[in-house]
Amino acid sequence: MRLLLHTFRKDSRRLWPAVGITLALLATLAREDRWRADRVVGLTEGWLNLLLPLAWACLIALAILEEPLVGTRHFWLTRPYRWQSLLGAKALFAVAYVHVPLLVADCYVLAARGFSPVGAAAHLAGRQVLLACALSVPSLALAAMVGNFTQFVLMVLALGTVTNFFGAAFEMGVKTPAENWLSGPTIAALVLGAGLAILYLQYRRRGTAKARGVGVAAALVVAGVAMFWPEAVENSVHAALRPIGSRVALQLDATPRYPGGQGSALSTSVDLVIPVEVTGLPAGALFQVSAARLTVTAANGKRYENPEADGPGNWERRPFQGWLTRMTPEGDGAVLFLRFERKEFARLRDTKVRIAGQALVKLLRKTETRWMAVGGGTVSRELGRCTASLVEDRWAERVKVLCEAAREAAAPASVMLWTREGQRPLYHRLNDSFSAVSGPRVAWLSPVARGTTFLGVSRGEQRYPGTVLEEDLGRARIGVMAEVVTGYAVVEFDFRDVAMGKW
Amino acid sequence: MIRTEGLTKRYRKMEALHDLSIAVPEGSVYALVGPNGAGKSTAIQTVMNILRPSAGRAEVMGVDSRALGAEELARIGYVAESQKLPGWMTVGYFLAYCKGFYPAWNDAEAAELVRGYGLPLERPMQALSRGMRVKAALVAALAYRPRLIVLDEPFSGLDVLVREELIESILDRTPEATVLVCSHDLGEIESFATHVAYLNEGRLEFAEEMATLTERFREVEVTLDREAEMPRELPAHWMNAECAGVVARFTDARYDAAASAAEIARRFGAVRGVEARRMSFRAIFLAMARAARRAQ
Repeated sequence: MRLLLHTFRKDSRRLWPAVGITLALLATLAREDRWRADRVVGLTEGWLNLLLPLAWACLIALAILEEPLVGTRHFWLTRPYRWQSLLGAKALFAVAYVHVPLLVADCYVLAARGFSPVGAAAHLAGRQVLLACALSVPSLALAAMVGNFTQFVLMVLALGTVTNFFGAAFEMGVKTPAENWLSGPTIAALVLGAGLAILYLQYRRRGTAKARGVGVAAALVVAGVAMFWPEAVENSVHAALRPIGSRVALQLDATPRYPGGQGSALSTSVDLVIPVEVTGLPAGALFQVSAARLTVTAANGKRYENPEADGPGNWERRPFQGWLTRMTPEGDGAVLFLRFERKEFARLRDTKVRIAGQALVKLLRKTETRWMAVGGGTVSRELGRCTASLVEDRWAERVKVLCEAAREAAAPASVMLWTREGQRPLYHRLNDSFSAVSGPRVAWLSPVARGTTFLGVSRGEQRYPGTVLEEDLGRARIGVMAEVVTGYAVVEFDFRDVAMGKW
Repeated sequence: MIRTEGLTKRYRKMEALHDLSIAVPEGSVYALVGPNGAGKSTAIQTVMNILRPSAGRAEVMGVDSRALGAEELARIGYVAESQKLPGWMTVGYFLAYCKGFYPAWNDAEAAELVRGYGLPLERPMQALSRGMRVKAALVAALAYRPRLIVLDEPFSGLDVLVREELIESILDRTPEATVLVCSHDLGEIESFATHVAYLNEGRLEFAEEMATLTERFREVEVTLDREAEMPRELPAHWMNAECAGVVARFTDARYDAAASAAEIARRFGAVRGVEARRMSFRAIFLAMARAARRAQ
């Protein structure tokens, strides 16, 4: 312990300017996060969410590289260090200058947003584990395998490029845990296991070749899991653990109900919207449906496969894309949405095709509606603290509904604005808005999950569709209802002889 | 104190050290010498567990080199020419930091060495000259009275005064401490080594006490009766033999007055005179290096 602290003090003395920079970045981020009353992240906060993890990774690497493990000329190699003390000192450095400051910042942000840090202890602990899996241990391990800081930075840039190329890893792993709760933890466990193995190999034996072998193997496996983890497996596990209990099936609804077809003359693609009926569910049940696999087979045998999810900013043309979706859980039904490149569709228009695949049906339950007035608030166990306020920007006046909770991701929820008897309520969903401004927009370092939606307000006597009259705001009541998944079903579907020209 | 058996280090296809077997007696000053690239530093780094041997083993203070841990390293002082020292530390902080690792650290001794070497405690290591850096490293390696001092080309590039100063302070610690030093500076080795091992291209050519080495090597000059050519078959221990006019010269690596005279008589017949001169270690080293080059 004495040697551990001895080395830790030395590292602190050496690296205090770098520590100061990361603390300043974190303080700025916490300040931004503390004042944010919106789901959409501002540009400063967005960049800080990107820069701070990089700064932390560099800080950890600098601490490790005070006693580099690669090379034969470092003075410490022949000094009586104990490997446990040395590794302990580096781990303590990461805890003291990365984990503890984040914990303090989290508590500050939570308290400032009106949440009890003590009440959110489990959430905060989970975030610390997540930080260890996603940043601290990988940074420690990577730095232990390189000879100098330049090599570390190059490796981080290479890994960042690869990660960005194959998709937004943080978003995938952090923000939608309910949807990939098998692959996410598998990746986390793989990264953590490989990182710890590398640290042991390097600090106990300085086995750089073996450690690098473990690192490369782990990177390949993680990439494999991230890219090729079969959604069907995930869905099957969901369905096995929480079955719906009745036999669910998908059928084509023979009546065209949605405008589809040719699209605009400028468009390079043609969209078809085919109604699908989900049977076997209790009457009036709320549900969502999505396709894990979707294949369209043309009469000539040509197959159109649904591609893997795109990475961010990928706008290249594709011959085919398809979705099975339902706009809202209480909507009219599910739809099969097929988008063909115009050239491809020209070959299919007068033919019949076969559409087959696998779908995941999620049965939902809405929680009790919590009501609030404009300018008021309410508290829901699932959604946290919700408020409704009238906001005005340079374009319009709107009612903003904001739900905040001390959790990783906002629960899906619907929002209803009711004004008076006989008036049809306005329905919105939380998080149905997005920012069109480019730049990093993921607030993965925030301890507060926020969900927002905006309800339009009409001034004067004319009420525009989808808005509420300003004069009605005084008596308007806003209801929020979280949607909780109560069961899953995996459904194979096979629609034959689907005439393409009909839709 | 140190024993190696068949110690071999390979880097892929290149063999840097081949089958090295030496024994460093306690209290000795053991010099590993050889030309550049002979494998001296590789041998020392393998002994110090900086490198892992590809084959064979080394034992240091009774412990397998691969198992050298904090306890053993606390009794070993190591200084190398190529060592990367923490340049950001001041000399004072460097010594204070090193002190934390050694229970036997002696402040008075460290202070005396600092004073003797004229080290500026407040100056960062990166601002020191090479000689000063070596001095600082040496203070950090001697202040706890190590049982074993390992020096890897520590004095190369230093001026004579500094070198003498450092050698003196190391010799002050013998015979309580054993010294293993590798160098290609033959002058300095000759002045303080008690044992010497000669490495060439990763192979051990010989290892023996300095006294017996200088005793068995002679530069022999034979004055012949008449001009003659050097006989074709010569003993293997006659190195660099050459003949010019009536004078034949060679280096005898196993000189024995009677036996050598008999051998000369057998090879050359009647000769006018034989002169056998003692050789400095430097001359022996050069003769061996030249012989090795000729053999290639």
